[in-house]
Amino acid sequence: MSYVGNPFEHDLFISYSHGDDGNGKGYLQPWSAAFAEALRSELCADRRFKRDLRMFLDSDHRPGQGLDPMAGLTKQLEDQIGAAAMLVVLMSPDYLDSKWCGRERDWWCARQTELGLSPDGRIAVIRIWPPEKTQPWPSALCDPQGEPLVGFLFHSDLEGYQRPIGWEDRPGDFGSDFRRAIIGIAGTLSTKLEWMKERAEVIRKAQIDAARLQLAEGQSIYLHGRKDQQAAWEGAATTLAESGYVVLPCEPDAPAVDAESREELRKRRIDALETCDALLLLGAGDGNTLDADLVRVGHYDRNSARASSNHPLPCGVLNLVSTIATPLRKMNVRNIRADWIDCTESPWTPQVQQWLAAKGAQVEQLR
Amino acid sequence: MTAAEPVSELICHLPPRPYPGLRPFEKDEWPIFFGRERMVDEVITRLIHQRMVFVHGDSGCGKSSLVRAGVFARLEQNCAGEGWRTQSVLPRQSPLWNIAEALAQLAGEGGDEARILDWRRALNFGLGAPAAIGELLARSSSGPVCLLIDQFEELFQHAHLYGQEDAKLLTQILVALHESPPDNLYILMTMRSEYLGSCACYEGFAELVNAIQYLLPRMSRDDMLRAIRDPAATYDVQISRELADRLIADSGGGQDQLPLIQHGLMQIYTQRIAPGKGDMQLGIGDFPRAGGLAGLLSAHAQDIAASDRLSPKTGTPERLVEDVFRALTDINTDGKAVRRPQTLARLCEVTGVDIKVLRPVIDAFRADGVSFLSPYGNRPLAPDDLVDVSHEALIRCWRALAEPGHGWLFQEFRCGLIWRALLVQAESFERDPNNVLSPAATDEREAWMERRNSNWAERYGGGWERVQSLVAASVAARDRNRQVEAERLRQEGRTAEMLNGLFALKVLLVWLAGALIFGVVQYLIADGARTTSDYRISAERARDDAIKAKDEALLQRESAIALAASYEAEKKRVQQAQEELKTSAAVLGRVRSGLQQFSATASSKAAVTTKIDQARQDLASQADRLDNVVQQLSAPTSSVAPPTGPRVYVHIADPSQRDNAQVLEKALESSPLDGRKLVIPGGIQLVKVYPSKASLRCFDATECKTLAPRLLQEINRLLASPKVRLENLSDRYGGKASIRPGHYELWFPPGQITLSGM
Repeated sequence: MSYVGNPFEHDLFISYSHGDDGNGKGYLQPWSAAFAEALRSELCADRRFKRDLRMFLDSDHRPGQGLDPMAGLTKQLEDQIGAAAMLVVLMSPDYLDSKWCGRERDWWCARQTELGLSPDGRIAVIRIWPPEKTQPWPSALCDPQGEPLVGFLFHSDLEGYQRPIGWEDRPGDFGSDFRRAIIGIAGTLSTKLEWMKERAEVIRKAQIDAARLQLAEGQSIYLHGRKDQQAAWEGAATTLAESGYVVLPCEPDAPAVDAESREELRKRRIDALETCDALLLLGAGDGNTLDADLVRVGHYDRNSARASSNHPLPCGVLNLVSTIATPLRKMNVRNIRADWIDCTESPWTPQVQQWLAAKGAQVEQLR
Repeated sequence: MTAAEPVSELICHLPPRPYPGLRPFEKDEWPIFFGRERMVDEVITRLIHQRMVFVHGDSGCGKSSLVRAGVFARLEQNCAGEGWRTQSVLPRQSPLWNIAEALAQLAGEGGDEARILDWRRALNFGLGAPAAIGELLARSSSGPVCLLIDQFEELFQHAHLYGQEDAKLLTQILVALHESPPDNLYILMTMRSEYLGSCACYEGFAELVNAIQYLLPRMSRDDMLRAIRDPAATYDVQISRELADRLIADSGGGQDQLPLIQHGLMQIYTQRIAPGKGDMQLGIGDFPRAGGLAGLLSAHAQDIAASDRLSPKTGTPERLVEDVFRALTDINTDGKAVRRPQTLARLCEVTGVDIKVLRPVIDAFRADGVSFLSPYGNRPLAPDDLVDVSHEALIRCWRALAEPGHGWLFQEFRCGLIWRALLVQAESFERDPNNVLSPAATDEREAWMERRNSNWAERYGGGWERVQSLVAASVAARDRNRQVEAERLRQEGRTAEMLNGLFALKVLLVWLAGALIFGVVQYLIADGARTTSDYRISAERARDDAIKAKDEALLQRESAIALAASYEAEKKRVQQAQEELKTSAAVLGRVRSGLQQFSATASSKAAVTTKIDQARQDLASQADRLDNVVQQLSAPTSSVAPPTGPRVYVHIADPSQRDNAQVLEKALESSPLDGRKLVIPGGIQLVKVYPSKASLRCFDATECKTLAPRLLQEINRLLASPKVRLENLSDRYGGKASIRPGHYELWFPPGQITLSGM
């Protein structure tokens, strides 16, 4: 597994043209392979990457990192390329001319779309050989305004010609210019890999959240109610607990007399909400309490908890009495992105389970 | 049992669309305010514990939105207790009065002037203000109240413009309120971080700021994602993660990130999600490829500027939008584009249009769904309402405004430099009236001044009258120079025209002589005769005469160019010369025809001799005639007297004045002054720069005392209005070679010219 982690098999895919010299030999291939190896070494100087960094290069044949010589090349490449968290392009005139490199790029971009991830900020262009001014850059390597990505300058003057830095060195035994240049690239890629790891973590977490919500039971539910609704709250909490849900908190909220104690209570509520899978507001009494709690708890506290924990935390109104089900109140519920769960008839826990499953499916779809 | 509906304060009304665009969120937009929850929590917690919070951050980073749609909304919905009331105030030009008004409002005494005075008086107590404020709050028996002093930096600007007193008193009050807060009073302040240094200018205030400051943090990526996706989800519209990622990436990490995203989302949502439309998904395909978010903002602003309701057809002057935004923007000392709020009345003065003309323009840019200018919405604007650009992102992204080198912002900056340069030149002109602008610079500045006025000039140091005097003097000098030059060129043109005719005649003469020789030679060859010496002598003489005439004509041309006498006298001479030349041309034409005919039909030597003699006589006589012409043209011009009558150059400011000015001109021409006929040369000139009063300008000290008063009297006798006054410019121009004797200028500003008896 890569450093970035699931769904990515590789951290980096290095795409380059071998550069046919007219005699069937790739004049860019030895230098490019040596560049990739030097980049790998430089990245692995950082202890974070030493063990887990996975880099994919079409000429790399190490088990788990390169191509299987016994399998079809195209399908293998398509799978491997798509599974890379970042695309590193060694830009040269031959790269822009290469249909094969274009296909690699398209595969990678298509896979990111499937994953619902934007490729923005995930393509590193290493300018090893200046392309002709007339050569158009593919849109994937341009910014939204159509300008080529800035990337990294990695060529210098060699007796009047622009050549990759370290071109005259023996591949693998690069001089200080090369080392200085590659250390800058490695620094930027490290930051990007860390950033991708966080993003991948968010995606994984969303998957876990979605899966948890769709479980038949076992979810943690924050059941909000007030002290003056103690009986109704206890009844609902018991029913939920008996159906296999974990109910928080242990009792309905006691009234808070001043601003400080309200803040204290709110803090405790948000802390608890951060650990829960869903929020249910007790819909009992005359409805006025529900209206206030809908805004304060259902909107403000829920969104504060979402901001801190970054999980979906769906909110439902547990409608236990028919007298509160007015159209205006239901609209209110909808406008704060909560759901009305009709629980006026027993048993009502299946409705809660259906609601959780539906919210789980929605989270999965939206991630 | 009847179902009770929610009370109105607890009904969640969704705004018309999930994104406000470029403007900040309003308090009632809390249902669509996402992504700042952690900051709102932090500010409320601090507010409750400290009673006072000083929120600061970059310009446009969302401070006002945070307080209004985050903190205020939550307080008013009783999240921190029952009965909260909130009020925001801007220091503007009367910080203490405005705060007193806001406090009275919070206490439920907003409409009562006497009560407002009580609050204002309480603020005067300085360090004792907390006790006085506490008593007033207790009088109103209201619950907890929160006052937001928004854009606190205005206090420092006020101090800069009007003195330090209010700023000293207010900072003293705030320090005291923090030390001894009265019950139920909570204070929030927002300020741009760049003004933090100014806080240290007031005793004790830096310490206060250190204790209560809250630097608004940057939103995390997850915060941004919620700010993008959750508002749409509230309207059952899903925004794909890919689009959200693209919006974040395209907006960059700078201070324009949030407003660009908010505006872009508003536009995308409005364009793609029509009411009742089935498609409730927004994906990467909806991202504006061309130009990205900045391009979208620029195109939107351009659409408003070019909309039908602001077209010249509706009475909106061309370039009024440009003038408005030039007045509302500036470049600060760091070279950054910044806002420059102006009252509506001031904008009218600067742009030179009536408020009725300006209002539709401002309204178009502050309308719902546009919000490029504040105050937002549909409330009719009052003249003293402050108009401001909603966010500097607009100044940076609207191409018409921001384009380097050509954008309005740059052009305005350049105009400021030009004005300052003109002020320097005006100073020089005031020291020495000869220091006027060059003719080329005058042309340019004369046109440039058309779009400027004295109110505009105040922005760059004022001095409108001084620059006007400079330009007027430069225009007068330029026009005089041009008239002299034009006359010289006209004379040159006439003389050259005539000389060209003369030259052609001489060429004809030479050709005739050649034809004559050719005819003779042909005849002699055909006849076999060898007694050619007489004919040769005659022919050579004729040719010499012709060459001599040609040389003289060339000499004449050289000398004629030097002539600079009056046109009328020169014209007469030229007419005479032309008559002579016409006669010569006719004679020479006959000679040519005769010779052509003769060369074809001559039969004897005697006949040839006779014919050549005859031709020679004709040629000699025409050479003499041409000599006379040459002599006439060569006669010294000094003998030609210039016109003796005074010359009055008439200038008008409006084409509608021309007809009556012509009537006046004719009347003047038929009214001799001291027996001398008045001359109105060069017609009536329409000018762009003119004096404020009708004036007759004289340039010679003696004439200004003698002839000019009589001329003025004559003009005023002929005119019913305006009254013309004498403007003596002899101290500036007297004795200059470029000013000829008898030179007067009559200038009319815009307005009706009425002749006596009309």
